[in-house]
Amino acid sequence: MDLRDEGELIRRLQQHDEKAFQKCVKLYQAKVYGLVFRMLGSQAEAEDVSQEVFVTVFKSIDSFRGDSKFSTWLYRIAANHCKNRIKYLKRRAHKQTGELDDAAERELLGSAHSTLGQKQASPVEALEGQQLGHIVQRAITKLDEEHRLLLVLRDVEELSYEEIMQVTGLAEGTVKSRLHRARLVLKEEIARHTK
Amino acid sequence: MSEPVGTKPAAPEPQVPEPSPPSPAEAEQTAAELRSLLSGLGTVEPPTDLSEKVPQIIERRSRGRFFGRRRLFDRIPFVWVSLLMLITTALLYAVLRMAPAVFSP
Repeated sequence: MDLRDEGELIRRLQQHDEKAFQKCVKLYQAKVYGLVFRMLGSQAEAEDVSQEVFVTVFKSIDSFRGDSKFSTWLYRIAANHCKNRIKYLKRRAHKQTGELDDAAERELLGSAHSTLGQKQASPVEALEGQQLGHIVQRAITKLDEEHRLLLVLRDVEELSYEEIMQVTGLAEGTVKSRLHRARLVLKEEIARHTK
Repeated sequence: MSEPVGTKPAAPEPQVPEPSPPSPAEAEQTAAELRSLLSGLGTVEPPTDLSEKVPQIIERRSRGRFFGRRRLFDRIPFVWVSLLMLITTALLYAVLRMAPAVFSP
């Protein structure tokens, strides 16, 4: 979407145009849901939080001044919702810290299967891919929320450092050092489970 | 950057000293290793009905103010309904008073 189209969409969103809002959800749902799912590791939670993110977009669109990309602003809202939900789930001593829900597990296995399916993988390779996908997602949800957010934004959603700085409000050096630390922790966690 | 209102960021964690930034070569090596692992995760598909559910939530929470589906008899103001009923009752009473012979046995 080019800047002129984005500007027009935002203008219509600020007028509470329902069609524009539906278009906005359709355009950005994959980005939002992708981030939220990787952050929370649960399909049910991800769906619920994604809905809340778009409700917040609707409520706060008037405060969007356009000094950053709309998608960056959206990621920022999604990140805040994720952090709050993680804290809430921790308080409720939710099992989510270590275990994925059944639906999430099916989705992970499905995505790993389809990825490997494109390469005509053997059943053994496919199974290994599924297990690895499961281990990686499990390891991501074990990271602390700040590390998890940086890792997902950079290595899964492939945002630039500039965008990550705008989403998190952190300085470039801090982003880089924390990201490096997150990668090391994730690598150790994955190695622990694959041995 | 515009502050997204409506959701406050979670309270910050206690500050711990930042580790020194890694050397570019070290960071790049770790990143490359991780990227190959994370690329195997594939993409996650959002629910197909998200774009329908969200406007419904907004309609419900705003009590029909936004994205309301205008149906017949939907959102009729109670003041006007009660006023109409009072006028109807008064008219009926007046008719009954003025024409007692018609209705009396």
